Amino acid sequence: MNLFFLNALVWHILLGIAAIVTYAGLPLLLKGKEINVGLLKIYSLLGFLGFLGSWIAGGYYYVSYYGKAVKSPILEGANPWAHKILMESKEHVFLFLPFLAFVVLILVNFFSKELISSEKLKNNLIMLCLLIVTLGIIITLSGIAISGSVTNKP
Amino acid sequence: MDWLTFIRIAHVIGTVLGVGATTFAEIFYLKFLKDGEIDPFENDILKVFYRIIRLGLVILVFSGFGYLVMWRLNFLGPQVFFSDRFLVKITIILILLAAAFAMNFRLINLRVGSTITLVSWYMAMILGIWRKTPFSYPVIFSAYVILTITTYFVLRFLENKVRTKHQ
Repeated sequence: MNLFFLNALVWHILLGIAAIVTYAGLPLLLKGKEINVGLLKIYSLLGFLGFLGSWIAGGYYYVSYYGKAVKSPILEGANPWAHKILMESKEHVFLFLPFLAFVVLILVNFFSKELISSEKLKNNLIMLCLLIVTLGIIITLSGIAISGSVTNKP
Repeated sequence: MDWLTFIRIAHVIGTVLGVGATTFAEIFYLKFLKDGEIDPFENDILKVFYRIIRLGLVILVFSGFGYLVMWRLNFLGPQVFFSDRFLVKITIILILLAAAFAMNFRLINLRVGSTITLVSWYMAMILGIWRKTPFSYPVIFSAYVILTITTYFVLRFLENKVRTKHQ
């Protein structure tokens, strides 16, 4: 793997984890006694940018490198399910995470007054953030299993 | 300094902060209970510990992924990624995260949550140090569950003792 693809893989992981951590913080901020709208906006923006960056880096790595150099060793190895099931699911779920994050970004930035006054909207936003975190964790665990199934140097 | 050393240092710092802050949060909680209640000042002190635990967890997660990247680049494969020790560690970290959320949203009793947090941090540390654990996933996980239940009753006992002393 050359330095460019190595960077793509590392940034895919780092930005993805940072985005999950940020979106895990959002429900805690929303649950607080007084909602700090400024902090909510920063968290939602950082989380969205994190997912977007992870999306671009991971997508480029997947299209340009994974298919040629990583997929075959996994399919020929002891755990072909890592690609057949996990990667095939991951690449689809992964596609809509930035869109879910974008919905949160829009709600926090354009409906902040309603968020303070409407308990229902706030609770739904918390549920959406928890859904993003859960999907993010599932994708992360899949990524760990896929990485763990690569044995031979391509 | 190479990347592996940097990651190792960060992982140790994360663990030290987490284990240390969780331990002292429990000690101070019991100490503050001596007068029968937690006043706002004492609550502020406990909040500092909880912030340090969160910081430790974030450092631990990021440095943990640093390790995973190094393992992937060195093609360590299923022997490491699917080892019983690593799988239990991942499970425990997930339980730790779930307990933190459940505590924040008052879905579980605070005493249960803090016991899970305390035992999980210690188990993560022990598994991190004990690299050649001879036990399988079910054995290690059962030990974790038994330890959590035992710790819960020990902490309840200490809490009741402190409260009785005050009355």
